[in-house]
Amino acid sequence: MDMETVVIVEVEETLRVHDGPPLFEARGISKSYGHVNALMNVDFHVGRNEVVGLLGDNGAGKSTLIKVLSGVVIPDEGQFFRNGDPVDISSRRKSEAAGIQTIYQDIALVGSMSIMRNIFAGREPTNALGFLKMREMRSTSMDILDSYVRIAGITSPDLPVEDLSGGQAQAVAIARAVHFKRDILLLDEPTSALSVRETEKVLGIMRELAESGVSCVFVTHNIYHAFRVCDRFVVMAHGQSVKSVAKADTSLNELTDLIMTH
Amino acid sequence: MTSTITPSEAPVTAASSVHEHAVRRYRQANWWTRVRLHPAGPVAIMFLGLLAACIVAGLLVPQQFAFLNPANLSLILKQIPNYGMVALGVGLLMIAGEFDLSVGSVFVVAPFAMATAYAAGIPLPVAILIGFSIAALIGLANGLITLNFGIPSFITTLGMLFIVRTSAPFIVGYARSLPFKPPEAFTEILTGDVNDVIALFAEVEQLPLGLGRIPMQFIWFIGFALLCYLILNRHFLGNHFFAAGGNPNAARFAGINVYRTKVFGFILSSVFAAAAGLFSITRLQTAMTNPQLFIELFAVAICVIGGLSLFGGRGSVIGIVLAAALLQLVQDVIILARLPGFYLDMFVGIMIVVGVVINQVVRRKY
Repeated sequence: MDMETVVIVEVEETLRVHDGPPLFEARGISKSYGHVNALMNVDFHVGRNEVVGLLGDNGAGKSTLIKVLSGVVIPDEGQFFRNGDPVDISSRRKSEAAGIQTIYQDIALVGSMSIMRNIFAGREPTNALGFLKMREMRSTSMDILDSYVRIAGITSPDLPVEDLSGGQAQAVAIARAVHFKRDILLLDEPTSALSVRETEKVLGIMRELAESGVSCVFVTHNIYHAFRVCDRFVVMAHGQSVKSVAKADTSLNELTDLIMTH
Repeated sequence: MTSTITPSEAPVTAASSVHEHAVRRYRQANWWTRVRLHPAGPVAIMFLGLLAACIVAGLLVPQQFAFLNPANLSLILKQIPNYGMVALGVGLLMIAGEFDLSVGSVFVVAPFAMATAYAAGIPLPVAILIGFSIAALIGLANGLITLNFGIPSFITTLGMLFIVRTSAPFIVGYARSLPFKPPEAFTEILTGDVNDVIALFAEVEQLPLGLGRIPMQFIWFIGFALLCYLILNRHFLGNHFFAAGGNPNAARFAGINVYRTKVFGFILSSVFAAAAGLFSITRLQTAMTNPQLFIELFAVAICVIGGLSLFGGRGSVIGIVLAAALLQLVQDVIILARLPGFYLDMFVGIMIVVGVVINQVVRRKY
């Protein structure tokens, strides 16, 4: 796997979605805050080896849906299935146990902590007494840095995250999630703070993840970025999922129209 | 709480050639980066500078400035743990993003409970355990109230400071003071000096270089500091402390139980205050209910001077130790130079402000 190359794989997914139950499925999700219906009867699914673009204007319900899927917000109604079997994702832990990992742009990392400590925050490798396996942590974080954020100019896993650029920090967050591979990554605006070069890299990583069996949900305002890597697009508006369409069956113009007209 | 997911599933990276390459590129940060990033940098410089000045002055004018007198050095070492031990607990909690002002009362009440129980004929270990349990309960209450109601811990523990101080008579009786006379060996091991302790076990000559005159309190303090260092830097709890204080949301999203981490911090802080109090009553052979004023504020001051951030997530044990030492060094200078006592408070005041300013400047740089 060559990380430097951005792989844009032509769409070959249209049939794959239909064999067997999807990797993850949410049915009939509703959530309201007082009089505001943030989500109304939303169906959403993620297939195997798939990058799903979750599109929509501000306030369309994208973030609420992501929060529901990552177990942070409990929906008023709705069911969840993994490989067709019902699963409980009513907490962060349960959502992770169901294979879902969320990467938030702003709150992914602790600035005052080193890269290494961030990578293992909450999942520290320890001995029986709870003491950290420092050597293992260091060697693993060096491997992670070297594999996924090589061009980001990070010179040591001991640097505090606040010393990194926004793009570098984002890259570390992604690298961490990749290392603890869940098979569904929810990426909330992962490219909005990145340089062009780093964006290319992240898009490439998403594609590679999908090929290696980690499906991604790519939440973004940037239709161009989404169109580069996504196999399928889900367009949301006013708390509803208005369209789910495979890349082969749509175009940039149509997606733009869908977002604009609702 | 011991989440031990072994990262065996490292993707693509397992190949050893890749790893070799990684090691070469990302060797440990160089020493300047580490010193620059270390929160204890400023306090270390101040402490070493003052220490050097004291040694020089002590050598030049030993009559007027008897700094190097063994009795004086021993006194300094004996004083450092007083506030230092309280500051260790307060500091750990501060790194987790919370304050504890109630330590000033816990420092008095928990040991008084120990003395009361011991005087009532309860075996010493049980009596001590009772005192520590009371301290732990106060810490637990601080944590539960602060976190469940989402109030600033500054307020919770300020309230608790007064509540515990004034309700102490209900808990531990109305006596103003109580003799505390544990077995000789206990007293020596806690508050004697190294020679005393050696004499307990063997007929040996005194240690060379006056090492035998190092007070046991100081050795215990260093022991506690090492324990704190291990917790903070080598244990998963420390990672959770830093994360919970540095960015609670990120910590939560990484799967860290911020609530439990902070409650543990509150308990730890309270228990450390009780331990410091135990050393105090053992040394004085008396437990008193009249409060040691401002001990909680000195503890916070030591933490801030030691480079801990008031906002949490930043700090080091070595900073706390050095700040506690710096404070006593200044006090000693004031005594030796026969300056008025209020100079110490003035120094502390200036150092708090300077400490926070340095903290802020360091933060802004990022």
